Order: sequence, then structure tokens, then C-alpha cells
Amino acid sequence: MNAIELRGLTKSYQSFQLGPLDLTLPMGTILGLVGENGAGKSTTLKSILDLIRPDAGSVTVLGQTVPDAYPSLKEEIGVVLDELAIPGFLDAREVGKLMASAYSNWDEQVYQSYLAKLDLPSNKKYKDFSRGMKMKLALAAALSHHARLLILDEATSGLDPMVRQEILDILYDFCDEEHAILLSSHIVSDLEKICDYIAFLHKGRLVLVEEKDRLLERFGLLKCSEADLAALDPSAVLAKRVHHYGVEALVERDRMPAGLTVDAVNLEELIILLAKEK
Amino acid sequence: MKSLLLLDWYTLWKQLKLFLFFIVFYAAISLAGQSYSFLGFSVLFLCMMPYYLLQLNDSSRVDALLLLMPVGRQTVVTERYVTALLSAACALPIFLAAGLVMGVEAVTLLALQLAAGLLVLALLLPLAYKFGATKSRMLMLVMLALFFSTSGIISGLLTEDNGLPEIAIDHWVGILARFALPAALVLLGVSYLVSLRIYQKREF
Amino acid sequence: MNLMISNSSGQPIYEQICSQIKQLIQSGGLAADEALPSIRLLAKDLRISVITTKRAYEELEREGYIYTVPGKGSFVARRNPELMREEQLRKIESLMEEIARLAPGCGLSNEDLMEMFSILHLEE
Repeated sequence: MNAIELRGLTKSYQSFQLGPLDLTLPMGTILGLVGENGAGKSTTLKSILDLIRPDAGSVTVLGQTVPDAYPSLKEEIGVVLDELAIPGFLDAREVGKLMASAYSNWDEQVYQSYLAKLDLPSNKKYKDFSRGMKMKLALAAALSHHARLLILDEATSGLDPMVRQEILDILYDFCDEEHAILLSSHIVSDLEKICDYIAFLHKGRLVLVEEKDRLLERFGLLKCSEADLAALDPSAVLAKRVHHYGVEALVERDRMPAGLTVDAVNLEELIILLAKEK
Repeated sequence: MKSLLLLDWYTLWKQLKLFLFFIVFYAAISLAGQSYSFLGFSVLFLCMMPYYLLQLNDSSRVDALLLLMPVGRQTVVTERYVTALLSAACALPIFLAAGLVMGVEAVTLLALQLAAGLLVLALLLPLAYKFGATKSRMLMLVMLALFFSTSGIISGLLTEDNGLPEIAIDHWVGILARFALPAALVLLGVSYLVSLRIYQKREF
Repeated sequence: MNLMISNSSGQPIYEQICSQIKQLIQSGGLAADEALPSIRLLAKDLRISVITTKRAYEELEREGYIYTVPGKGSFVARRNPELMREEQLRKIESLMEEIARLAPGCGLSNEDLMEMFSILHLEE
């Protein structure tokens, strides 16, 4: 089963159009939605959650049609949206009570164990938390009602490396055959580690959806002269960056003639090069 | 619904404590001084409470947070009108106290004020759902001005010696009070339906 | 069981897993019928993608190094050591054939090739 299926999802604004998007998140996997600020990541996530009503297309979550299956289907989804925060005047204990009253599957024991594990005080107000603590509390709240799908928006941005690792570890533990995670970030390196799939959203369009490791296997960074580049099959060259001393090109490794050195490319370089080209 | 009420309770207790204090404070000095005008403030504040709650929710975007939970849009709106009825019900003890201390006439006047307050609320809530907290706050100021001038005129009619026999005034106010409150409640019902339509289409 | 995954080597991660498990099997580090870690666990421990791990296991299974019992997991296949050696030899032979085919095109003599090979050996 697929955790999320988007088919032809479209949403138009005066100065921006999202889609049409086709995207699938299979159960048991983690998909990272990458893109610059304003690329449409939040709009996509909000459309999945019915906070925004798409103009066209269909959204299926955990095999059920959205928004018809809401609000009861939301029992199965844990969400952390960057811009939608827990009210600042609540402390962790009260957040727990609030969640317990909303989710029929709320598991106070799990919640308490997350609070302990993540070192979150239960009587300190949310607004007095550091950014890292806020994110950890939001995550604890999202993970304590036995959700099968986790949707996270910019969950790791602006966090120190220790906290980020802590959060990534929790996500690793969460994701097994019965669970799936969709997470968005404008920081590619955050997603490089954890994701099985990468979807690259640029100016409202999906430029790329690919299994992460295959992507890194398939493409490489060729450093050569402009003349060398001109001699190559142009369809094997996805993007290039020309500088004073030569060219850096994103190429399909398999289609390069022998003798040219193709370096491994990391996800961030790949995305930046692609974004420039589009 | 339960989670919404709980959240409202937290909001009320943590953010609007001063507001609660003033409701009780005005009621107390008013009853002590046997003057119903401060009681009017209490009733007005009670009527506006659901709006303040909505405003706080809206500015911290808690509304949208709730929609991430298994809470439907209809429930969010319904709960807001339930709090409206609940706070209107909170005015009843004030009525009772006023009746005991100041007599039936005070109760009639307060009922009129409650009706006017609910009327303002019925107009404000759909506006707040449509335009958000900030814009509707401006509208609220206009409404409040209207409210005060209306209640001013009513009390003016009562206190001024305008030649009408006393019984006639009482009679007139009595009739108004009898119809105003049900009318305000009907309007609140209409307002609920309008808010629901607006909120179903809203995007966050 | 030791597995070292390098992100900078340029060798695809699934290949790294495959070749290291093969080596472990050939060197006797993994005995026949010994259970391999589940795909999910291996991915979690190595902090790599589940899909990649799955691909590595599928590759190993296709080549006959491991077998999978549905619901139980993957195990090291019982193999004849002679057969395994035979297989490796065949692979070396075919790679050499490839060299022999390519060398004349570049004007490389047998001596040049031998020299290249000994340099490679030194580097390693």
C-alpha cells in the first residue's frame, strides 16, 4: 500500500502555480521533499492535510480518499508543521492532555517516555523552550498516538547538529514496514542521510523524484574543459556550471566515454546544479 | 469538541485571566453600588468572550493546528458557538443577583444588553472567520461604538423624563426584552450557518 | 559481522554491501545457514536506505550467496567452496579477456600491461 498518492494535484495562486504534481510515498519508506523557500513544499503538505483545497487532482492517504476520509483519518497521521506551533502558554503536560482529548489512540505512556528520552521538562511553557526543544516536543506529540504516517515540515531546520541527530534517530526508529514519513526541508543535507526517496520541487513543479541512492549512482560530477563538454552527447549532460578555469557538469555516469573522470556527487550539489538549470 | 473546549479553557485561564477578573469586578462593584451600568460591562464582556477566544486562537494559528488533529472544521465552528451560549448562560447568575438587589427593571435592561451583545457577536464571528482576527478587530471597534450608542439611547429613554407615563416605558421595555433575546438567539443561529459556510472554504 | 560503508568512495552503496558480504561468506566469516540481519535492521544500523539494502540482498540472492525464507529472513546459502573459487576464477578470466580485447586498441603490449598491473598492486 502507498502511504500517500498525489495525482495531478494543482493549486493556483495569483503569482504562483503548484503542480500538476504526481507523487507516491510507498509504505515503509521515507520521502524527502526538497526545494527552495516558496517552491511549494508547504502548499503540497497542506493540500495533503486539507488545510488547503486543491483546484484539481486527487489525494489519497493510507489508501483513503482525502478529504472525505478526514477528520477520522487524521487519527493515523502525525504532523509537525513549522508555522503551526503549539500555543506558547501551554506546557508539555497540558499539551499531552490536549492531545489525549483529541486522539482516541493517545498513548500517555509513550508520550511520557518521549519527554523523558528527549529531556523535555513537563512544566515549562512552550514559549520558553528553545527551538530544538520546541521541535522535539512537537515531534513527541506527533508520535504518541500510534500514527502510521508522519508528515514533517522543516523539522530539522535551524537545529544544532546534536538535536538534529536525535530527531533523525527517532525518525529512523519510527519507520518500518507499517509506517511512512514525508518530510520537507530546504536544507538538502538534512535529508540526504535519512531519505529513501528524494522529490525535488522547484517553482511549483516536481523536477525530480528518484530513489536517493540510485540518483547518486546514476549521476556524477564531471570536471572538464568546455571543449570536452561540447564533444559529449548533450542529452547525457543535465546541468553545468561554467567558471574561468573550466566546466563542472552534472552528467549521467554510464554515458560518459572512458577516460573522463566523473566524481561522485552529493545530493546538495546535485540539487543546486539542477535548480540553476531549470 | 472536548479538545476544543479544553483548549479554550486553557486559553481563558492563562491568557484572559484579567478579563475574567473584570467581569467579576464590575459585577461586584455594580451590585454593591446598586447601579446596573457596570453590570452591563460584565454582560458585554461575557458576550465578547467567544470572540476574544477566537481572536487569540487565530493570532496564534491554533485553529489550523486543531485541524491537523482528528477535529473537523464543522466542530471548530460549532464549538465557538457553544462557548457563546455558555458564556451567555454565565450571565444568568448576574441577572439573578441584579434582580435580587435592584429589582426586575434591572434584569429587563440587562436582558436587553445581553441581546445586544449576542447580536454584535452574531455579526462579528462570521466576519472574524472571513477576514481573520486583525481585520475584524477594526470592525469590532465600529460595532462596539454602535452597541454603546444603542444602549445609551435605550437607557436615555428610560432615565429621561420624556413625558411618557412610567408604566408605558416599563411595558415597552418589557416587550422589547421579551423579544430581543429570542431574536438575538435566532440571529446567532443564522450567524452559525454563515460561519460554517465560510470556514468550510477557508484555507490556512 | 563487520560492514564498512563509505559515502565518498564513489562505489554504489548496494555494491559495497554486496561485495563485503560476499567476502565474509568466502572467508568463512559468515557460516552457511547463518542468519543475516533483517533488511530493516541493517539499514537502520548502517544509516542507509532500506531500498538500497533490499537491492543488495536481492543481488546476493540472485547470485546464490544467500536465500530468503519468507517471514523468517535471509540466510547464508550452503555453497561448495570449490564452486565458489571456480566462479571467481571465471570472473577474473572474463575481465582479463576484456583487457586483452581493449589493449591492442591503445597500443599496449603484454609487457606494458604487466607493468601497469604491478603498479596497481603496489598502490594497493
